[in-house]
Amino acid sequence: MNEESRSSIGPTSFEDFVNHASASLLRTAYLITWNVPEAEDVVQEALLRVAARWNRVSTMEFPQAYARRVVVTHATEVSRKGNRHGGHFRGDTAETRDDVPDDRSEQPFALIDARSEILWLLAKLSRQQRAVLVLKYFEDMSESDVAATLSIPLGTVKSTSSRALERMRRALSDPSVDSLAQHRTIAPITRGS
Amino acid sequence: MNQDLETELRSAFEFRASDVGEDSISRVRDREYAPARRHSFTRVAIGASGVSALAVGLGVTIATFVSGTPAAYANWSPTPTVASVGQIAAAESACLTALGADIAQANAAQGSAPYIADVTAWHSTIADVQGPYVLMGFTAHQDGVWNSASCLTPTATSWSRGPEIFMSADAGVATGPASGESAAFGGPLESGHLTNTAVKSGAGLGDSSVPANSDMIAAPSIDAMRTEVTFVIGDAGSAVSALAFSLSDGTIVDATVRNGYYAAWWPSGSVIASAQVTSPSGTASVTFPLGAQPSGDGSTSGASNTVIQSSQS
Repeated sequence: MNEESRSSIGPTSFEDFVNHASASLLRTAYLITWNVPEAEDVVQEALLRVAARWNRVSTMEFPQAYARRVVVTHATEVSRKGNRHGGHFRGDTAETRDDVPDDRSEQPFALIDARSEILWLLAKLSRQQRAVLVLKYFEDMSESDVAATLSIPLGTVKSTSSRALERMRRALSDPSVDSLAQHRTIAPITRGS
Repeated sequence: MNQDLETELRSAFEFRASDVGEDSISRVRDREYAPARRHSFTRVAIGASGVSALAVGLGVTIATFVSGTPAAYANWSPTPTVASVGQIAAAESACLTALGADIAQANAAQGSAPYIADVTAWHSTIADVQGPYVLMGFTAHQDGVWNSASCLTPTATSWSRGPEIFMSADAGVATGPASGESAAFGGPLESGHLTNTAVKSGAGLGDSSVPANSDMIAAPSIDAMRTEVTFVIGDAGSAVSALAFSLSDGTIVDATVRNGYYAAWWPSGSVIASAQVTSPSGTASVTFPLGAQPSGDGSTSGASNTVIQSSQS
């Protein structure tokens, strides 16, 4: 649980807020984008937007939660608009569908273990699906909070999470479906590229 | 199985998150974000430029602030649209909520209460509707104190799906409206955002009033990833029936003119090159920045910093 993501830091300067929140926001952005440079861009743009509203944001009970919402929104928006880092990105406008995998983040891993398998499967999820799982299992948010953060209905959170988990569960139980083992012969580790 | 997978997920996320190094965090932390300051716009006392004796009563509010990208305002149009059912009421409600929060913070920060905290004292003066966007002007008068505020909502809808509000409640601890003026607001100019605003008479134009200023919008410090939004709200006077702004980029923006007020906005930092003011006396063109000599047959007002070009119809 990332306590700081839910905590109120109270009235403070914007500079203090940035120092306090940057690392957490960056990790969240990275887990959604699966790409460090892009995560940096996402967080910086989010902080610019928070800065422009700081008069109001600083009075909020949970300013970091607001910033996180901006980060998550932007991280998923970027997925729809295109990749500015030249990675493998589909020009398909159907990317807003949560069943479209974010293939850009398909980074092969050399080590095949349970964690790597999970990471492989996470990388193959759409950003919308990954965002739901990140908020739910990394940020330890309730499904209601996830819905509020993503500005989507609670039912969509439930169905998105369910479908993503089911897809992963199916792959884990039946390697022939879609597993890292099928791809184990390729490529060095290039995570975060 | 579910629990196992969820446990594995948490572990995998924690592991993956460790990829984010201190160098990345430092790059994010070290960026200059330049938070917006309070009073990002200010109404200026009519008498400030020495033209109050001539003023018919037009206050100008100008704001430039950053918000999203141009694409975020893809639905913006230079001409006001008809409000949908409930659109203005919803915008007013959202704006007043934000205004209340802003005022509470401002008063707390200053250790006094220069701003009218009683939200019920605030009322909207005008609403400019452009598609999904509503720009609203607000005023409040209580115990001899006048305040004004403006609100644009929603903003950057492609970034934030819910309504977000830029609210600048501000400024003026003024002495109240001067004689002949429908409103007079005071307050310090925001250095770096505005260089000067003023109010001008309609000399030579009968009862019309026109906005006037010098270098209406200074070049603010804008990050390359941001864009500007500029809006103007003011008291148009009872005789003005239409008002249009010609911007430096060639765009002509029609203002909403209603009940003696006008309002307009555009999603850029383009400055006003001229304004065309229609009144029973005809259409007047005011050239910006003030002091620039208009071409053609124009007349110069007695105001120290205003040039009015008359094009009577």
